[in-house]
Amino acid sequence: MTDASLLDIEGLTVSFPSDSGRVSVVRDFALRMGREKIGIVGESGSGKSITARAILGLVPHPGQTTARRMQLGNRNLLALDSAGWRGIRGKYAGMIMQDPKFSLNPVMRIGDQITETLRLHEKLDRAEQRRRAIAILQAVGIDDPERVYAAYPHELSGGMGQRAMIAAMLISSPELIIADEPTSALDVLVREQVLKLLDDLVTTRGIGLILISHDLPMVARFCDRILVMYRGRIVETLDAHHLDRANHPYTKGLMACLPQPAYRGQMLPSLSRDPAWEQA
Amino acid sequence: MKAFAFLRGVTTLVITLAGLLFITFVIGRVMPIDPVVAVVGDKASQETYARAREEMGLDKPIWVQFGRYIEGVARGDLGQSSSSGQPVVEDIARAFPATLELSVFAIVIGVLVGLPLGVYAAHRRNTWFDHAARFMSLFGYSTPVFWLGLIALLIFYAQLGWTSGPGRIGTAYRYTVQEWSGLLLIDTLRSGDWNAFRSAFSHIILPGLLLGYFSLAYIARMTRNFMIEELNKEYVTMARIKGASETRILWRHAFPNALVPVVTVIALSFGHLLEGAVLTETVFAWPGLGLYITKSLFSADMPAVLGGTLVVGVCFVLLNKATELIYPFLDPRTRAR
Repeated sequence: MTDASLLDIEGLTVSFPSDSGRVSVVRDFALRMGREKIGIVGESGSGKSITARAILGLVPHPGQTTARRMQLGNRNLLALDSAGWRGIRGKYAGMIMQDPKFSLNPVMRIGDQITETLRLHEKLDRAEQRRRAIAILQAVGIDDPERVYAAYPHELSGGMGQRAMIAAMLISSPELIIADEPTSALDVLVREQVLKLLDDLVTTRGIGLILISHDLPMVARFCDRILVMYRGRIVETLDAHHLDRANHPYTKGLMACLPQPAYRGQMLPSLSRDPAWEQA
Repeated sequence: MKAFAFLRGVTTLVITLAGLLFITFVIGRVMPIDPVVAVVGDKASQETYARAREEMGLDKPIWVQFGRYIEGVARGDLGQSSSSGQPVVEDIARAFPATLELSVFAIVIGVLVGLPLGVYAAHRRNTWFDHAARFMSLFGYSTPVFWLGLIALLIFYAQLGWTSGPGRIGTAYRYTVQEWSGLLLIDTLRSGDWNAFRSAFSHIILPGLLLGYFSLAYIARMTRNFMIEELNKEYVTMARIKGASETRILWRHAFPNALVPVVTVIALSFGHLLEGAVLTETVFAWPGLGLYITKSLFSADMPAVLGGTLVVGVCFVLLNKATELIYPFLDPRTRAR
């Protein structure tokens, strides 16, 4: 299933104006992916979240996105105006955000928030919308979809909220899903379930997934390939099954920082940085 | 459970109003104006003064006076106005509808113009539209109302003759209107008297627009702030990710959330209008509650002042209750399960 042409990005750069000229927060990002699972890891401020937003054309106002090539399927994203972007977002590409407590609208019923994606892109009657929403709620592992459909966000737990959010993104069968730290706001126990669910859904439906996280081992378990970002650049691309083949000192440093039984009783090593990495 | 909540509500209302009355009562008694002198004049003999004082009950201890007053209030008797010589209830029944009419006129303008203005100022923040809206709000805030009122009268009444001058309605119609609600716009419409309606409308338009301007300035500014806060939240990004348009995000996502605090702002604004805009009512000779209370205060007519204060207090408490009842419709988190 790896037709290498689902998402094709080359030379993606995002910059913001500052007092001392434009500052690039993402530099020369490139990614060619098929319907596979790509992980992007990096520390806070490495540019991974803004990359995700740039792929959906959602870089906030003074920011500027440029690229040599940016294609989703056979659609050229660089040529889109705002109406064109609205036709892409939600329908062909979706994003799952960090915390359902903030990303779900507190005064809107869950059902309406899920069917909104459908309503914006397809003409369907209410009954059909509802039927599909209930079906997708069941698919994301919610036992009482009827109740959740009529519920408001504050009536759901974090895990349920995140499932509802996944449902809202999957309902219009997109080709690409970006998950930006989808589990870091959840309890440890729920975290694993939600990730597993996301993994299953994406695999069975043949959706391309970009999983963004700072948690390297977690990403390695779920993804095929991993991009390591540092200060706005991709410093290394890894095969998820061969983390040990990491070459870049930053990646090695990240892995060395993880607690392991072998380090028991010792201080964990911390990352020492080298300015040369930025030129890598 | 429902009955209990209702009982608790009534108790709060009674305690609030009793407290309000007590404070007003005490202030009235310690004021350096002698209500007895206000009635008998300063040339009255000692005996006349003492008799009047006794008749007014002012020789009794203050808590006895207060007790008597409260007793009257409970029977629906607010006492006799010393300046008009009429029961305070009747005076207020005449003054309050005038203020109510003006306030409703103003708040309708405030909401209909202020809300969209605030929403679009938030949407177009830091553009010329936002700056213009803010300047307009600030102008409304910093200009004395009596000055603006006089200028408006000078231009639209004296110079252009587009509107009528002071008062609620032309003298020709003053005694022909069949009173029903006390709101002249409604009463004239109800009796189908078009000329009288036109006269009432051309009288209310200037003070109404003026007060409407102040209330819309406040509502627009607060709406803008609440909207900006909402537009920065994650669920707005979420809606964009689903492919929603900016208009949809503005009105279907952010606005319903901003409306929760905005409703409080509107209620507050309406409450202040109901207090009676003293200066506006003075400039336009509008026979409303503000004018009534102020006049009574200057002639030490305490029953009238207390009665007016009570009405304002009841309005505030009821408005508060009303917003409390509206909240659950706007915000599911405040709904009792």
